[in-house]
Amino acid sequence: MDVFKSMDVIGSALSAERTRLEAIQSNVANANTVRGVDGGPYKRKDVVLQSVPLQNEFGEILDSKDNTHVEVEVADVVEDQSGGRPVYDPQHPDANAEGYVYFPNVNPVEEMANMISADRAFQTNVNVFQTTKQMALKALEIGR
Amino acid sequence: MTDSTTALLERVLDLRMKAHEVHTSNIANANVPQFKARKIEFDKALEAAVTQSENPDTLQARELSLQAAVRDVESAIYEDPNAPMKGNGNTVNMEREQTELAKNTIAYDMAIQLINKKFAMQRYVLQEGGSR
Repeated sequence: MDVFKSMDVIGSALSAERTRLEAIQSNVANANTVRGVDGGPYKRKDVVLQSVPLQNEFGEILDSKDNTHVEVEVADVVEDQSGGRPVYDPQHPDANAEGYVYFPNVNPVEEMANMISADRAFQTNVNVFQTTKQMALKALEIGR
Repeated sequence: MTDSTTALLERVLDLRMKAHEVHTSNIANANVPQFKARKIEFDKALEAAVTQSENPDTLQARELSLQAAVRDVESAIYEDPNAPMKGNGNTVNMEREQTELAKNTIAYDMAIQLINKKFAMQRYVLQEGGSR
C-alpha cells in the first residue's frame, strides 16, 4: 500500500529532525563546557542528512520513473572543528600560559535558529502525516 | 460493469495519491542538502484523454474509448531545473509544497465524494428508486 510507504517517508523525516534537535540540545547544554569527552573544550555537533530512494523488499532501488518516495536518513553526526572562543580568566584551572580559557565553539543564536528550523520541519511532517491518514481513511469509506 | 465515470475517478484517485507521495517526499527532504524537489504533472494528459475520446459518434463507442484512454494516462515526474536553490543546494519550497499538498487532498476528497455519489445512484436504481 502506497499510503504506508508515504507514512514511512514521513517517519524517516520525523526521526531525522528529532536527531537534529537532540544535537542542538547537546550543543546548548554544553555551551560552557570547557572539559569535553576528549579533554579539550566541547565541540559542537552537526547532523548530516541525506536522501535515500525507497527500496523494494529485495533491496533494489525501484525504477526512477515510479520512484515517488525518497526517505531521509542521518548520514553522520560530525563535530565542528572550528576553534573555540577564548576568554581571559587567569584564575581558571584550565587557563593556558597566557591566561586564556577556551570555551566551546557553540553560538547560542545559531543553535536557536537551527532549533526553530528543525521544530518547524517536525511539525510540518506531523501535519502531512495527519493529511495522509485522513486520505487513507476517506478511501476506506468508498461505497459505504 | 465499470462505466467511464468510475474509470476516470479511479484513475484520478491513483494519480492524486501519487502526487501526494511526491509532495510528501519533498517536504520530508526539506532540510537535506543537495536534494532536488520533484514535480508531478498529469492534468494535461488527463484532459487530452477526455477530449480525444469525445470524437466517436455512438455513445457506446465513446464510453469504451474513454475508459481505455483514461486507463493509459500516466503522470510525469521530474526535477524542476529552474527552481531557486537555497544555500545548501536544496530546492524544496516549503510553502508551495504545503499548498500543493492541501489542494491535492481537496481534489482527492472531491473524487471520493463523486465516486460515492455514483455508487449511491446505482444503489438507488437497484432498489427501484427506493420504492419497496
